[in-house]
Amino acid sequence: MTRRLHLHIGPRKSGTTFLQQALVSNKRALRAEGLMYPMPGRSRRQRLRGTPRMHNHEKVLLAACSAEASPATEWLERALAVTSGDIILSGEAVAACTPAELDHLTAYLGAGELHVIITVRSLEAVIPSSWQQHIRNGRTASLEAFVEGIARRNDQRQEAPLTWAAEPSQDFWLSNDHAALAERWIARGARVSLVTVPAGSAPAATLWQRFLGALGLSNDDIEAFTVPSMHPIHVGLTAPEALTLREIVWQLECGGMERSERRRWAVRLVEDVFYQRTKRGPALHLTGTGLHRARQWAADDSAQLAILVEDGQVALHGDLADLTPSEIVMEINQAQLAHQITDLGGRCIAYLEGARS
Amino acid sequence: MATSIVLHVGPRKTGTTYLQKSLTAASPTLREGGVLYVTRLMGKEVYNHVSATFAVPGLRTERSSHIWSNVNVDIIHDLVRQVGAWDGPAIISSEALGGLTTAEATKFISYLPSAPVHVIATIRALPDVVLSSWSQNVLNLNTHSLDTYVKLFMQRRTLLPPSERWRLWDEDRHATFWRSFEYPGLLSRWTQMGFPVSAVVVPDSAEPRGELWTRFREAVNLDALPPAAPNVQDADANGSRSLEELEIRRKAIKYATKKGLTIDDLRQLRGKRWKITRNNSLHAGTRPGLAPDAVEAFERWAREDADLLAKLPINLIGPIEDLLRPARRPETPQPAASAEAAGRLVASRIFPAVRGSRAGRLKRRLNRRAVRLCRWVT
Repeated sequence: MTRRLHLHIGPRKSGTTFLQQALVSNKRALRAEGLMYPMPGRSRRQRLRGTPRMHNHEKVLLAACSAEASPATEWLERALAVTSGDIILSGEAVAACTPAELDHLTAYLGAGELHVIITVRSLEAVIPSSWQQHIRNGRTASLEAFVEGIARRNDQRQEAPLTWAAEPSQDFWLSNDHAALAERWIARGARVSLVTVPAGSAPAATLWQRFLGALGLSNDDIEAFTVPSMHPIHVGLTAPEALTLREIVWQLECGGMERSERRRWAVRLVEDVFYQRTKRGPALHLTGTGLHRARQWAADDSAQLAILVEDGQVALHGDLADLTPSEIVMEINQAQLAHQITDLGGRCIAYLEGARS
Repeated sequence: MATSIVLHVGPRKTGTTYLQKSLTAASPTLREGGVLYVTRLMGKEVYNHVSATFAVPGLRTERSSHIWSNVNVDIIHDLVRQVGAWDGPAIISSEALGGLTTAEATKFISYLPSAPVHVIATIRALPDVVLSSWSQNVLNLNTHSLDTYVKLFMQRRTLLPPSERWRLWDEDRHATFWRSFEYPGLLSRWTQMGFPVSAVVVPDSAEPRGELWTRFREAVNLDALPPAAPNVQDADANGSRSLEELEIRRKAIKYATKKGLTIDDLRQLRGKRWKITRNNSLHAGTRPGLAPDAVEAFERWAREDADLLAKLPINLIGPIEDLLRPARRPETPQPAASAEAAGRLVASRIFPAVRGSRAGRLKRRLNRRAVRLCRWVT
């Protein structure tokens, strides 16, 4: 029997960290079902330095995309050669690969059945989530400017429909035009499954169950699996946190601080101050023109995906309605938001003073 | 010996820093005109004489955290020496004098050389003063919210008749606020000590800054003071802070003390010691305002005080209406302004940390090198 390779390609901000942690914590149960989730071990030096264990194959898969031999690609070749049973690999950056990179990757993965799993989340949720990650990475564009940038790239790709996917600068749309993403993999002979990320406040277990369904496990099999808690998996920033952090990072940039150092401070404040609060404020969401645009893009994407599903080219696990939530976005009370921001500012300063003394 | 002494008693939050910096800037001209304004005490440049006030034994606060708790007594002696050696009028300006009890004020006066004293108080609309006073309170590392702070002083105002409440506050060393800002009581205290008193009404902040100087000059009544206000840099050093910035500072102190940090640990957060870049500011922020019940009370007290002032034997300079300006109402804080203030303040604390850690690394490296050198030598 041909071995199957389940390749989870994200994209980013679609519950990938949660799913990867779930895969790691359920390794034994997966093995019982004939599914392997092999992970590269840490070197002695990495262990000594306290480098955390990896939960995904992002580095390995990206190395394979570049087609240059490296320790990562050697590990991949070895893992594919020695692992018995079906293999699961997961790397969210793969969704943003250009067609040329996909050709290299599929060549590495070799013969056998390639099953690509795409986790799909509403663009209305992906955009603010991407933006807060952008801020945590030490960048400073406002949410409005960030959406504007996405809109500009969307216009560029409409102008060059045949060649846009070859542009690495189009990483947002390479990842988040889900129909085009599925088609790129179908064109390379892969079987594609879509797992929709439940909208709103649905339990995290729903996503995990849908993902297990995509791996071919029945409801009876699923009972043996556990659902990891959302903590310490990184959770997105709330509206007051994102607004505060963006201004801090912006001021650090004005002061001439390098992005890598800004990123370090951002991570430190998020983990040591923001996450330590029990009441973290209202969720970050789009409003006004940004929301309108995101909903329009999501509706177009959903319509394209529906065609692929109807044609039987893509297997659906979940509900396409998750991609176009019709919930009314509640206006955040401005006075409360201001209050939460001042509170956060105060906590950050107290933390920094505490660290100094 | 000085021929006369003009004693500017503040109180604080009434444009004193502006006037003192103007006097400092004009001090060479004043000297040429025969008027002394001391700008150097114990070899250190000063722009006011607050340190000299607290240098008087017995006037120093007993709170160890107070910034004036360890003032060298020689400072008052130096001031007295310079004034005593001057042949002509001298101006002394200390906003701390406005909050002193009669006994404390008498003690301070007893240190001065024997010369006729003319007392000048600058007086400002009461609702503006309480808001400004709260801002200063936050900058001085206190954590009362505006509401709590205002209510505290509303309770202390009492319903007693004027003379009785003045006596009560004169005996209570913690009643500095009302001793300073219930102007009829403040001015009576100094008139009852036998000094001629002038009260300069502080104009509205919308008016040009020079207007306060013009009124002050009229009160001082010395030709040596230039008619045009001196060009003072950093005159806005005590300029109003946005509500957003004050709230962040207040919460920072609150959380830091909760973490066990002491006021000594937090000295770097006091007042003007933050190195904050302001050139990239997009949002002015909102200004603190009084709640409706406080508005009603402070506006009523301002009217009552103005009526009493009209009956006092003082020289009032400036329209009394300037004391009756309506109180500022609270505005809704803006998230964008809050975020900007938070970003600026937090970044200003990160940069010293970065520098500190680099300096620390260098020091550690030098230490290691020194240790290796010692080993090699031995």
